[in-house]
Amino acid sequence: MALDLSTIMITCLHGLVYGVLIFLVASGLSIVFGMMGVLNLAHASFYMLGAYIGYSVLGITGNFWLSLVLGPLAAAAAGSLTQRFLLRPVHAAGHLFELLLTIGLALVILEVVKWGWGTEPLATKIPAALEGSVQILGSTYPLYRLFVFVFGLAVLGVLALVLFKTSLGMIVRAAITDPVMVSALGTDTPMVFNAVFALGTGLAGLAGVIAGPILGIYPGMAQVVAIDAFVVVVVGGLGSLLGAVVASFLIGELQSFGVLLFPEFSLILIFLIMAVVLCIKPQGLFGEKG
Amino acid sequence: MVLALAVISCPFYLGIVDLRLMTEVLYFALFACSLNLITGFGGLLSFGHAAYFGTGAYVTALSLLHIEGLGLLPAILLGGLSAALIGAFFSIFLIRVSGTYYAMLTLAFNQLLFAVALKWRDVTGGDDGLGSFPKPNLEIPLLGSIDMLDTANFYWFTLAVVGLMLYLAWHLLRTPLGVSIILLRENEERANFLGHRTSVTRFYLFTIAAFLAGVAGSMFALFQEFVSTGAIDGLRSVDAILMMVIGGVGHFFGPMLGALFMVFVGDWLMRITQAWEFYIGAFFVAMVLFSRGGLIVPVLYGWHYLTLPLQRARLRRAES
Repeated sequence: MALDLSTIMITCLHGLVYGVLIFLVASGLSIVFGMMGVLNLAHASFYMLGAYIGYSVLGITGNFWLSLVLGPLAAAAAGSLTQRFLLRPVHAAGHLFELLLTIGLALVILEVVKWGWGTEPLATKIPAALEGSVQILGSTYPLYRLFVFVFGLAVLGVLALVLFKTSLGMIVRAAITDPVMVSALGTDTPMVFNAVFALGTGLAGLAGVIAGPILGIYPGMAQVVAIDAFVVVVVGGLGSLLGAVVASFLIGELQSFGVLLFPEFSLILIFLIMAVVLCIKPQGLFGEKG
Repeated sequence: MVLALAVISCPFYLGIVDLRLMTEVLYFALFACSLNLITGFGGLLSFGHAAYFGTGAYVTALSLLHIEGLGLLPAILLGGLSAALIGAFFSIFLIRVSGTYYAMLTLAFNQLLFAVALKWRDVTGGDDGLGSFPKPNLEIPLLGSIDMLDTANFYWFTLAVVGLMLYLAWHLLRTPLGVSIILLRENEERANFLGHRTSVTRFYLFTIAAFLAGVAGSMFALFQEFVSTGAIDGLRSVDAILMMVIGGVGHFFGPMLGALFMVFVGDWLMRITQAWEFYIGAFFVAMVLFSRGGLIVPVLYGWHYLTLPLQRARLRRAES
């Protein structure tokens, strides 16, 4: 296959856009794991929930920007309730049951979505302001994808600012390292846990809303993203934001070029990378804890 | 005794549909039970148990398809042994990680095999799966051959195979290796201090569990007479987890009860509602929240109170 420069360019951009989306999902997964030790297997279900609720808001009001606010908020609220009423009571029983609970939750959310919106794929419109395409280095590229990329980067910037420059971020980072000590110092850690869990699911919901027009809205959407987000979190290191950023773009590009160059093996390659990283360095490329 | 008789005599009082469901219960019970060895007794949650179930199913189907005149038992043995081989190979890496990392690595391995089964079309048939492989009769020396296409015969055969495997699993837990497995769950550090080589214990545990799951997969392939990627899908692993937890993690008979519950209640729900997985999922979440011992707990209590007079009588006899 002849690869000209513009194809490489477009594929590379597609990879970046997908990388940003995966990052929005994986960052919440990673921070929640780092803090609470819970691998939330239902995390991508909140991504799906955000996408479907965003779709309904768009259908009722016709306003994309409103759906961009309400979709993530609904996902965050659902996440907060989940943490408070499902995960917290099970915490004392150990990690095994927390994991099991999130599996059950993923099943329930999947069925609720099928129930509420049907099993058919849904099509969303791109808002009028973001329609059309732009010229980048001689190739045309859809404006909406560019918007997703820039918007995702902005969210990443805000997240990094909050996490590394504010006292709230300091508490969160401290709680990742040693939650018991932070609570002994007088911080209401259960509340911080709840807020972080809600933030994580909200980010996943946000990714769902903006991914809708590109990746489609269908009941299998959670599973596809869940797998990639797990790979990102494992490769980047559970609990590491920097790792999540690097790994997201790595997996995004790999998916993008893999589909183009070796469609037969791209799926196998992704899991091979995950398995190899887990075997050699289980804490991930940027993870600190073993 | 009564229970064993009831299970053996199923073909006499169950209709053909329920008998087929009962056969499913048997191999799923074995599948969930082998997962329970790892999770319930070894204390590690495997997310990729379908890797071994699927390997067993595919290998049995492929060997029946390509090896002319292969007998029934060798085909099952091939399925189980190749699953054990894969399990032993994965174990080399799996013994080094624990907790959530173990769960993630088993998931990665499962998905790896799933991707292979999906993409290696020439061998596995990809999405279309493998069908129309022969289902040989069971040849017993001196007694002649038994027709496996008969539902009742196949039920008894499955019962015999699964029963033997379950006995092996039960016996395993009573050997020194079994004690070592339970020590893993209780306190691995202390087990090491006591001189148990826990990594060796884990290696044997994973390999044996893989073998049992592989045999369950072989029975699945023979029963369905069709194997597709559904056999090795990550969702199949979730099935095993659901059965195990609903029945009772860590109790030997829990997963069997769970398999019985999941197959029959699942079938019943499927007939009355579209969203049957919702009810199963919600029930599962409720179990994790409120009744972590599983369905086996009330059954055990019931058994305890039913046999109370007997126990008292035995005690009195012992005293006098």
